[in-house]
Amino acid sequence: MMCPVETPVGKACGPVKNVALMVHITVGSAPDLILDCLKNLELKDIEDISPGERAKGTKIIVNGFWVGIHRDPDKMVKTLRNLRRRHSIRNTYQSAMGKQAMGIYATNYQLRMVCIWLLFFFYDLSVSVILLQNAIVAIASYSGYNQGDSIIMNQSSIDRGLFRSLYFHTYKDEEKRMGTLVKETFGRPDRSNTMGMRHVSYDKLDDDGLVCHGTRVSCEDVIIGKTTPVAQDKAQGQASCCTRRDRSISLRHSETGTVDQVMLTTSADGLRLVKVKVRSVRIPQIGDKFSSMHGQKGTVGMTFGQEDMPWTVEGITPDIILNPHSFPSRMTVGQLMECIMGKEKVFAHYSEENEPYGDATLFTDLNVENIFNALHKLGYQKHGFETMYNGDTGRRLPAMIFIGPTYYQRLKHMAEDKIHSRARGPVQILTRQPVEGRARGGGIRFGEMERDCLISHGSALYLKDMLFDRSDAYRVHVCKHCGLMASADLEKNSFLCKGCNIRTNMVQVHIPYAWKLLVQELKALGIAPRMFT
Amino acid sequence: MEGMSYQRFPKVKIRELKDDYAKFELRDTDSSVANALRRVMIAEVPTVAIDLVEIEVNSSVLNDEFIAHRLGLIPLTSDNAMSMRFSRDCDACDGDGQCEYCSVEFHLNAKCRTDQTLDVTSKDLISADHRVTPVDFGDPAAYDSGDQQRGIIIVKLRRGQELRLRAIARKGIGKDHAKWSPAATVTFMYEPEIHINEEMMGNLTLEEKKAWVESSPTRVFDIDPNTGQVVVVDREAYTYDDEVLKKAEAMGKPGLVEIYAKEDSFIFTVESTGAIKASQLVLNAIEVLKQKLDAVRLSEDTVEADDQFGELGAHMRGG
Repeated sequence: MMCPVETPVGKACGPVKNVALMVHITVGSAPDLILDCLKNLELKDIEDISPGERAKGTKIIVNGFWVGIHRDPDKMVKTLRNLRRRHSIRNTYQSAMGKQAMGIYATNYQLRMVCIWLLFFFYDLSVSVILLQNAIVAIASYSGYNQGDSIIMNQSSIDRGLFRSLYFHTYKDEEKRMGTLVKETFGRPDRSNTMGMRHVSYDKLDDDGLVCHGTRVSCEDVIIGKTTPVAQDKAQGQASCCTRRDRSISLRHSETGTVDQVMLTTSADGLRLVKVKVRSVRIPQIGDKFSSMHGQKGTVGMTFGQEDMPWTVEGITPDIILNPHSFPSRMTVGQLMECIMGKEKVFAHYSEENEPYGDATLFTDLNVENIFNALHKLGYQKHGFETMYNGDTGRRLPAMIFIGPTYYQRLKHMAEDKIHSRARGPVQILTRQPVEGRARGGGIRFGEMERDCLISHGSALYLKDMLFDRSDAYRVHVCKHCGLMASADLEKNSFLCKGCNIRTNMVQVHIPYAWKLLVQELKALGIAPRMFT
Repeated sequence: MEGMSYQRFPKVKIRELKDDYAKFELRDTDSSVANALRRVMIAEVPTVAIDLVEIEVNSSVLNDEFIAHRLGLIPLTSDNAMSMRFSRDCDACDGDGQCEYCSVEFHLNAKCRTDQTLDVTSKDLISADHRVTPVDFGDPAAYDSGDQQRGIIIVKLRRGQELRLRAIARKGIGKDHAKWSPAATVTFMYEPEIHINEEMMGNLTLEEKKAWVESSPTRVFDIDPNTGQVVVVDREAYTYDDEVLKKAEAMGKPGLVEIYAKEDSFIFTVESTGAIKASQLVLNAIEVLKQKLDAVRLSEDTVEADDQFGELGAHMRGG
């Protein structure tokens, strides 16, 4: 399968090919649809033209075949261009974003043990595997919490289940063989004979070393207990008591949930294999990412209760408020059309004889103009605008608001998976600076530009605090005579500069550990950076 | 400032009253008051809803969290919610739900023993207190026709599947979670005042009048078939959409009609979830508003706090 618009954005740009196992490759496609469309645009069929007429029109060729003539090709091409409803790059963005959306790609998800899986509680529509919900979207500037691609979401709607979803995470482990005789074993590690046990809870394990399904688990609880035997001679000092080493698997420190399923089986190598599926419910919150089907993604900037949301005279409050600035430059007219047509379909009285139809394009006679008229007949402002009232004050908003239903998908980037802070924590061995990354409990990088900022503010002491005291503060003793670092024994209060072979005239300096490291590395290169105070 | 009064005497006129629907006029007051009433009805009138679920057996296709969420959203009859205690303020219990002042216990016990799918509904929830039960949406007429009303579906069970749980309902408000909101719809509109410029209107042809009347999406105006005059048939149908004003402008007749929103009269529409009656919802909202005002109202002996509250202090002392 190859899509004409799908491509990665940026460096790896180019068409994306997907060949499935059962794929049937076609060369070309039937032109019927295109011919129907062209006929509507006054194409004269090749079979209907008399020899004299040929010269009066322009030849129209589809897929290499001459299909007819047209008298006014300029107009036809213009009309065809008008059929396009959005900037094609938005299709590209949507193709890329669809992969981050929550979806079902198999219906037996309750039994599958897939690494990570996201799922909606409820959904209104699915396009292939993507799940969508029909949110009532207002396009308005309200309270200022939806600036720059962020959205405001209705907390009451969230309470009632909007975009509520399930998150499954599967952990797996097996009893690996180490050598020919030694084998790892699942089981609850015992503090009396196991070394290397971590300071976390092992209490949720059963005797077989696995958690029971239905157990609530939270940060770093051990969910799979596993030990390896320790050869007595290797276990140096602790040889007397420790016969086993802990190799257990615990939950990621930022995760919480309920054990959904535990599976014990045998792997292809005949080793015991265990998989533990942990389930948690993800309720939309500030920072979660959502997108319409038009490449318009945004994160939740604020949630408001129903009472704080703007309301229409019918008492409707939107589920989502988008910023109007998302539209002019991106030209995603398609989203506005989806919205206004959705609104018409919501209120129209359809029956079996009078079924809903149309797609708001020029291909059917349900185009935008007709939707306007239909909305007007249904008692709504024809362009989809409605007078709304401020939820805080009860006053009428000065502008009318475009409001209607729009399909929204939830993307897998969620604040809960990314939230991170650090007060104290692990440091790198080499530089003694804080480690990087959320998974390791690392620090948050204070980069060059942040540094520039503090310099320009003149807050020197705070800058020093940032880059030194809270990073890799260190202290060395320097020989005043040669300016090189000396060895010091502070308990005995004795110092020695090996180069000068003197024990006095030392000075204590506070330097970053990284600087101490650099000085030593330069020394190894035969350069002596001297510190004079 | 002492003794100066801004007190107004709002009037309420009830137009329509059903169990779950109320429509009334509120006059001679400000939009702040009308909006406060609306907000309190949505977010601060207490009801009872399931807040804690202990699941004993659940072999259904929905997981525990899913079922707990669905149970929470079931409206429960909450006529005595105003006199109940919030479980956080309750000193008679430690919040385990066994307390008569702040909580109501429910049991649900369902197992499918046939090949037919079993619908577990709100009717299967057995309440320990007859005053707090799942709201019955059953249409009395449906019973006669033999069409059984089974309440709100919680989950469907297949043969062998079972659901057994204990649930505790507590008092709460819509601000904490929408499940406690007794309001389905609460909205008000400003009563419009419509002045047709009869002189200009008289100069229009019948076609022009027709086109103008039809430019309004809602039926606000009509043409009297006898006199051919444009008349206002339903001014409250006007949604402030400005369509007729734009049409008049487009016809080259600006000022054909003038429409103002009255600043001091409001038409409320209230729909309840069934937890309490719509009329009770309005009364409870006023009660809650009064309680909120009591909390800030100053007594005579705290006049010294006038520095802080100024004019408001005198006002609240009943000036």
